[in-house]
Amino acid sequence: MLGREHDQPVFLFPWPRPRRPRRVIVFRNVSLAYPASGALALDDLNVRIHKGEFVYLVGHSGAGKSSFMNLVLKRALPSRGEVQVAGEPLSRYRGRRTALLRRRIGTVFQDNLLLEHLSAYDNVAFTLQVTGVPGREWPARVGTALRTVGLEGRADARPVQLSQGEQQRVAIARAIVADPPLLLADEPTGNLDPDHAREVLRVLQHVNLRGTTVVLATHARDLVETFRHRTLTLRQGRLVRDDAAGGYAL
Amino acid sequence: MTYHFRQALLAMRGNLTATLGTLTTMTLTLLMLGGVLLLTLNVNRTLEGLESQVEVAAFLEGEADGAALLRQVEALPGVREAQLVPSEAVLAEMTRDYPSTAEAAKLVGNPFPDTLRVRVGRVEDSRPVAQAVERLPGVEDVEYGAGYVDQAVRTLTTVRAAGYGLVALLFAGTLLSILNAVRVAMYARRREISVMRLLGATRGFIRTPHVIEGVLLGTLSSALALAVLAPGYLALAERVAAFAPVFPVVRDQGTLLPLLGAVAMLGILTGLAGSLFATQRYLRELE
Repeated sequence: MLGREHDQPVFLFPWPRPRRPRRVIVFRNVSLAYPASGALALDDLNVRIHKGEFVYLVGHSGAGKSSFMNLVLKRALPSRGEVQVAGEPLSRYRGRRTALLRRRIGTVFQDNLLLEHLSAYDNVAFTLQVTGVPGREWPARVGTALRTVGLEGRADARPVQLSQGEQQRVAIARAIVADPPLLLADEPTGNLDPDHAREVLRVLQHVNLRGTTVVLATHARDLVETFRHRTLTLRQGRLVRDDAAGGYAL
Repeated sequence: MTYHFRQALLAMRGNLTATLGTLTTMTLTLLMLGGVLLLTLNVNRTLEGLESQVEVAAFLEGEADGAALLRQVEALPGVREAQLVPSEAVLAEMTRDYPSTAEAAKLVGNPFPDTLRVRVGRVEDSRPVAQAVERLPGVEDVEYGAGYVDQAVRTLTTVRAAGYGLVALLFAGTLLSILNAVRVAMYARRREISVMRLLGATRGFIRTPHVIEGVLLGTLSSALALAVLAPGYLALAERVAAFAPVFPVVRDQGTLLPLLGAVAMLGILTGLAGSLFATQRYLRELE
């Protein structure tokens, strides 16, 4: 019998029901306390981030942006509530599965964490090396990643020979070379001048257009205003605004 | 695997002081261990020689029932074999060894009593067996090489125990040294390790270079220790055999090779165990 199901409209013939967008990150009543003081870094946070979204996470220092990132990466565990990544609660990622989870998440930090003794190419290939990708695949994949960030001509340069912006782009190339479905960027433009910052943001936009979900923590107002996306505003660990239209609201 | 080996070699070269310190401690420990084991081997061989020679002699009273005493002695713990030698046989033996005894016997008659000759299982048993035999009714007196047997056993046992104690201490030191070397190496790579963890490297991948480092250190130490120990011992054994043939010095390859192999294996295993423990602890601290 044709009838109402979950309040969906009734169609007289089969009609493709729009699929619910897949949730990549779910925070359900999540609190995170600092172990030393017991103060809350995150307080009863409820957030859902869907596949393919570009989301800004904004707030002052200490607002909880990095704590959010650390929870997604399972570098910390919530004191209360539940965090789900790729549809599974964080508690299910144990031992080797934690490593496998992190392989599906690209990360870029303010300190780009490049290895000084390696060239740009080797820094990017390092991801493939530690995740066991066969060496014959490296040249093509690293080449593509460096091309995506516009550094195909600087493959042999070491980090000290690159500008801050270029270093950060190498870090992005390293984060995307394994084609992760999710990219976390924690203040990636924090050390950069406005021109380099915009350059990095353009690269992240490009990565997002290829289908990667991007979560970018920043307190750079001009960037958030220039490239508008969904913006989550944190204040003292609480989500005070979730603005689909974007814009800096502090 | 090439990456892991290269990282292990880089870590060893990068922390040269810690590497050399560990290598020296480990080599010395293995040398000491090898030395103590070889000493013990020779001590055991000497004790076996003593054991085969040590005899407790019980002199019986004139009216004692030798056959009954023999049965009682054979039932004592620690007794390997016992034999009743009548006084006439004792006199004949003595006359054969010391011909003048025959003339003395012509004057005073046979001065020797019936004698029980008892062999013990282990040389350490000679004293308790002698004491037990002496308490039996019908036994007048007991003799055994109390002086030299007791002293030899005591000295050799003490030497062996002190050697083992020293080796145990040195092994503890070696283990700590390896822990420290691996820890220093991991600390030096902390940035790389934190990047690896973020990129999704498994614990096994992060640990492998350092485990290789531990095994390489163990292997190198074993090789160095054996390079000194084997020719050194053989030269010493030749000299002892030439100057004091009474000592049964072990020189046969069938006995020496497994012992030296065990020393080498122990070195490698210590390196492996130390590095496994150190890497596990370090990664646990990071989490």
